[in-house]
Amino acid sequence: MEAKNFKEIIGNSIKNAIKSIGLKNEEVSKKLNITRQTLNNYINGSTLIDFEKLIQLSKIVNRDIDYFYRSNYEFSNYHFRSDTNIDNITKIKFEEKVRRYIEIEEINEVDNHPYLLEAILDKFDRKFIKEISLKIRNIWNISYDVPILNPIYVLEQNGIRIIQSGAVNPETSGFSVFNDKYGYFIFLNTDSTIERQFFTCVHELAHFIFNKNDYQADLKIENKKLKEDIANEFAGQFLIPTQALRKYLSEKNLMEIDFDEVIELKKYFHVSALCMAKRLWKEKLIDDSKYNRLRQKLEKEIGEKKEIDGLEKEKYPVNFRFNNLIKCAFQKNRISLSKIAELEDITLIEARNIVKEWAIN
Amino acid sequence: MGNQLNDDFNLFNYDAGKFSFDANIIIDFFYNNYEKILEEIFLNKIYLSSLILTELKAYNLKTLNFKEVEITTSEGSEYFYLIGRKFHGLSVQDKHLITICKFNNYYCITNDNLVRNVCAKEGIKKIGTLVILDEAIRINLIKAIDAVTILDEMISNGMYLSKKLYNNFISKLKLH
Repeated sequence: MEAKNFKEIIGNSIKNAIKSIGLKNEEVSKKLNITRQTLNNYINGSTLIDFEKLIQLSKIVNRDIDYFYRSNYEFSNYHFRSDTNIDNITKIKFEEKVRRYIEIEEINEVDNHPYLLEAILDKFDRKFIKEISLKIRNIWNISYDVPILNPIYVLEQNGIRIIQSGAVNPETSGFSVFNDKYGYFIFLNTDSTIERQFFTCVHELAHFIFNKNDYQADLKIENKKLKEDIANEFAGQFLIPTQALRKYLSEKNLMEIDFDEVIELKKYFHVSALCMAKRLWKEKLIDDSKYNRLRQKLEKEIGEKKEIDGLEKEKYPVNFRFNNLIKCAFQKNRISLSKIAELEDITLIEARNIVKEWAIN
Repeated sequence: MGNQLNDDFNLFNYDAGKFSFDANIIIDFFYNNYEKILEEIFLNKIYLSSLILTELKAYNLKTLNFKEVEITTSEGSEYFYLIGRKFHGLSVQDKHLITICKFNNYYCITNDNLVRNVCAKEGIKKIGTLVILDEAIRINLIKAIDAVTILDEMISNGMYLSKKLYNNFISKLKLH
């Protein structure tokens, strides 16, 4: 490799990192105790930054050292879509996690070409919400009359990568991203209940299907309310199809539906009690007054982080596929122990404990 | 862990050697209170990568006499980049350690399979915990039976060692 290219790669990464954190060159040069001219020389690739300064810079801009050593264009080419404001720290954290996800797929030689919903769906018209939800179930080999026990697992099995982590903004239950080279990614806030995370991932799937054009840089989303309603409707239909709901009611001989039955059903379908009540109302299995009464009662008792008879977080390990890829790579001697800590963003001691558990199991 | 018993190493012949450790080996010895072994064997010969030190910030390394080392040349920086392109499974700390060993002709002290394989391919001398324990026995720092106890403790506290390598080492100890 030509030295000039190498310096340019690092220079470009320095420029992008400073920009993404919202700092000015002057502020960064002061923190690094160098002149603005020296920083400019690093950025334009005429001088190679000292390794020691690079370590300092990585801490200032909240990036790992490796960030500066790669061409970041393809990783920075994300199109975010979110209903809430995504803070810069969550965005950077998410970008790093996406990069690590792609990295571990490449190490395992997994095909990471983008999975495109366009290839499996011939219509994206919002008039066909129910039909499209059933069609996807059909393509993904999920019967219409059964609950989906773990939608995160189902989406990941079908080419949509899920990243679960905490978010700075507690209102962010999730968001989605499209990258031209790598396809679809969904971020789920692990502070939310499992039911909420399940619903959010299918809600984001709906945005990929119906609002693909929203995944453009700096685009102001039009008709936000309508789009959210459609995504919620899709998620409800996908997780609780009419056939599955009616089959369960008939088998259990549930004629009169009230609070206890809603709880029984939500546990069966792995959704929130509120989502369950809404689906029952949409299916006209409960009338307006009962729905309103149930909703008021449920809204008092549940929220983003609370659910009645909720699914236990311990039973749904986060980042299941990602972690399995790491395990697989380590067992094949393709990654080091220290790399596990880096990919998982944990300490070396925690990585050693993970490896110890793998050896026992 | 690679076959450490084949590490072509005799400390007696390498008095002028310099040694750079990965964080795991330091943790193994410090966590189990056997840092004295490292101090005695590698007196004034330990050179730790600045990034490895950040991995070890939870440990008080004051008793260990070492020098902190950084990549100081553009060639080193470029090698750090190239080694990462060639071996994707290395962490930033691994690459830093390997680069420092390569450019300063240090021994790389690691038990990690991948790091050891990379060292072998890159012409970097390497040794692991088993060789250190072997040397500790040879210079009468510990008895052979102590080495088994130490190894068992390290394994129970998170050190990874294949059963095969463990058994080979135990068989070899009986020859002492």
